[in-house]
Amino acid sequence: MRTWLGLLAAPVLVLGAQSTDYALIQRSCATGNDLPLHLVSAGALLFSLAVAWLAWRRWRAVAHAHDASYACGDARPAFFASMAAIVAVFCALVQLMMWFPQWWLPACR
Amino acid sequence: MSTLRDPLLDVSARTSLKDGAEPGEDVRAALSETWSDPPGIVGRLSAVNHKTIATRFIATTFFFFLLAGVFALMMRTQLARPDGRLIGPELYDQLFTMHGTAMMFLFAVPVMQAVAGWTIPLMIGARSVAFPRMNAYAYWVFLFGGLTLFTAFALGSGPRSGWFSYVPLSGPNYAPGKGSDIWAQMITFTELSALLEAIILITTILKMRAPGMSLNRLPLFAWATLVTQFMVIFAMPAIMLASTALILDREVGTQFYNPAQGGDVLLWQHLFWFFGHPEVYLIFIPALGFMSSIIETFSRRPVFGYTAMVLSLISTAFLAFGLWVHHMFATTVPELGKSFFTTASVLIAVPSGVQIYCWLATLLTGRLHLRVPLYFVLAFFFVLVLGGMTGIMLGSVPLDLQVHDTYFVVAHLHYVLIGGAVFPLFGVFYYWFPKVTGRMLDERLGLWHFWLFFVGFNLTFFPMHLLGLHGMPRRVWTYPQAMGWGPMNFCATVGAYVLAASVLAFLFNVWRSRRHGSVAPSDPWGGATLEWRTASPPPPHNFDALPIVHGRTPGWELPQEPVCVAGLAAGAREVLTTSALDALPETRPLFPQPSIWPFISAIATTVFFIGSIYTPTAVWWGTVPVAVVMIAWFWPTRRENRIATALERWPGRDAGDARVAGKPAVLDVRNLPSFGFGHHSLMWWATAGLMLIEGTVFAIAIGMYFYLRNVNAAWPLNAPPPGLLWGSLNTVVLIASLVPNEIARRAAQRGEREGARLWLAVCLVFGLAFLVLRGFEFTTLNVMWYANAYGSIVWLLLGLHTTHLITDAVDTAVLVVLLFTGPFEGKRLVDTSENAIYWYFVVLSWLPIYAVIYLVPRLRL
Repeated sequence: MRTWLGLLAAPVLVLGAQSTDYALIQRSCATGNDLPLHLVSAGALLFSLAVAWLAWRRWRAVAHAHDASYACGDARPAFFASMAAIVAVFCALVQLMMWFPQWWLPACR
Repeated sequence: MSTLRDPLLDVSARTSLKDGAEPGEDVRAALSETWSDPPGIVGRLSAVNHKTIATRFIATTFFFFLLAGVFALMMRTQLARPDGRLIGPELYDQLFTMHGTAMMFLFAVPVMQAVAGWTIPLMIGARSVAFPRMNAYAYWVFLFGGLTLFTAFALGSGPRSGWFSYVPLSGPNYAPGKGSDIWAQMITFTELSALLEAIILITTILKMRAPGMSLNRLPLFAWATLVTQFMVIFAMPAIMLASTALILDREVGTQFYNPAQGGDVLLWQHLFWFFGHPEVYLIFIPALGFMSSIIETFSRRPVFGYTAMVLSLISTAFLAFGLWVHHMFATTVPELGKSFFTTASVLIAVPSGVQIYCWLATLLTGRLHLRVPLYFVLAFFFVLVLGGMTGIMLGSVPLDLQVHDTYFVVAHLHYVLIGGAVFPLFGVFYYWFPKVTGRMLDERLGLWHFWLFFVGFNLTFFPMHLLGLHGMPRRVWTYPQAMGWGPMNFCATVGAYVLAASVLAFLFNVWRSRRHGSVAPSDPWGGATLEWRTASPPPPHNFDALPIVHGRTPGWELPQEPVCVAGLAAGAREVLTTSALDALPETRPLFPQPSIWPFISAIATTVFFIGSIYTPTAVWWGTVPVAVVMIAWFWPTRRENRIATALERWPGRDAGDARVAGKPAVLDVRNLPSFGFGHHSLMWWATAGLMLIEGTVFAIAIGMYFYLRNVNAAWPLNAPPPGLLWGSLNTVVLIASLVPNEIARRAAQRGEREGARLWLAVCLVFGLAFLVLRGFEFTTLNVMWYANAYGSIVWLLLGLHTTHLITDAVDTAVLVVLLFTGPFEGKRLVDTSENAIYWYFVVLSWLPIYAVIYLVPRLRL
């Protein structure tokens, strides 16, 4: 589970946050309240970082037997955990980058 | 061998002969006969061998590619000089629409699936793709869809609103005639085919790999194919819904895209590009797999950074779904919203860059063998990087606004698509041609092909960057001399003819080499993957004995024991399934025989699809033949049943594990169960794929509801909220149906045929009650579909769910009848179990639809 959260849930959540933020722009413009946008972005960022940490822990736990880059069958858990950690970190980066414009651009432009 | 020709006479002969290490001639002959397609015309129409179907698929897509290329030449000839009058504007509109549509829908995506359909079973050590009859059906549907489009064009009814078919240009007011309807229905044909292929390939890769091929040993092309097919599942439903809404607007007066009645034209663009941008990656990612295959072989070393390559594929696939709005920067999308998509558009360069650096590292540290496939790969780096750079430029809103709808974009997309996909595709044709045909393609002609293609391509498309920067718009049928665009257009046209000459050189090479080419050994390039471990061309059964994998590059490793799988019936289509993650042997199910029914089903489907272009009543009279022939397709025959029963072992009862035995040691699988429930069953994976597709359809339809709600301040467009009675009653009935459904599922898993059929029948009664109540629900709705966009989306949601329930009710009824009457050996109880899972899906998917239709209008958010 710690692996799949990083590998699958983090990208899905970041894409979901992107669409949700996009859908919330009109409401933020109408109400003058940017808080929901920031909450969604912050939540997605924190989730991505958290599952990256979980996947990294899992990677460290299973890599002592076989490194992630090994081709033996027993290295499969480390292989997936390492991918999950890196994909989740990448998702956090994407989410952070998508959050930046919300700090400067007004919703009504 | 004569005794094997009629299994009714000698079932035991068919089931007792087993494959294994060092098989005798009798085993080889039995395997070959078992997996061959039948002779004669009916036999050809009944073919299900994955190589036969994939070869047809590739040939058909290439035929459509050639036609689309001819259209491009016609356009380039028209634009060669200013004030050209060779072609009128009406025909020009049709030409660029047909060119784009054919290239994207009938060539680029399907050819990638077709190549995968040929190579994946060989690459993963399997005898077939999963669901071979469905594979045949997908091909026939694709063929008929493509022919429909080209026939309509030949008859003067071609679409003319562009390959993206933007509304209102393609809507009822601006596109009279049947062109746009045919375009929309062609989408349904090709997407149906693509979705079926996606399920087939996913199941094949996850469940039919050779023992030992854990996912961290999967060849990179197989990874690319796997990732792409998941993308197909999530991307295609958007365009299917969009085109369905378009055809409904045109045929029955719904208002999805009519702003005067609450619809919205940007809804089309959102739906189209939610599919359209991932589609670029559906084309590009398999090509990345080709790259990895060719680079690995011709560098003589494993690809550098295997893990980084795989995670880059996965990251690219996900992020591809977060870019679609960058196609809409010139619309009224809020600036803040655009910035989200700029970010994603720029950041997708990161995983793409990682892969490029891994390949470069592989090439730099390997021993290069510069043969024709590698030429195409090296050209990829030059062409795709140029296309990628202009892509990053277009991801920036200010620049995109300047060059939007100019030839700069035409140049960019051709650099990406041809550079990213067609160059590797040609490379892989040279790479795998010896495996497919047993002959080598001529190297000198190949070099002519490559250089003409490379020069012609750059001559054609590089000037288009400059034309775009000079302001030449796309999709203009001519231009005045005073604009000064003539010389660069002439250059592009000369380049297009050079491109055409290169393709002719390729076709000549194929034709000549097919007959007179040097005979190819089983492994002409020294490849590392399993397809090179069998003869060229492979026998009908692919491998005399299924291989066992001990590493990531089995072709380059020393032989280890166990050497192969043993114990599968040679006289029956028995295959081995393995676990999804670690490829441990699980079951040995029996695959179906060749059958004419997929072909007949495709004809019935075509009649239904084409009929619905002309009359909505086809929904009634067109679906009945489809249902009838599909029931005939799936109806078990006594002939197959006898073989299945003879080979059957129940999981957990009379079955055991695979064991290593013999000298040389082999993995004997004859004790494995012949079927399994849940994720052990191939049917479970097909059902899961179907549920993912339909879940995406429902999610997008609900997204459409909220989008329309968002753009209309007075939602639900002055209609009163719908009455709660019938919808709520239906919800209760559906939820109650879960009880007999679950009892039936458990009975099936215990092998209790009587219990399964009784409770499945009870479940069916609930379903029929629901359908009757749904009739009342429709008649008491607060708004009609044609009144406004609110009515349209409510009817669409209800209609979608009703369609699913009808389908599942028919499926359940057929199973009940089979359970009461037909030959129904234990294995077929898997179908009952999977049907029960699907029933759960249909019931539970109703709950969000109920909430949207009945509760949301009552909320004041």
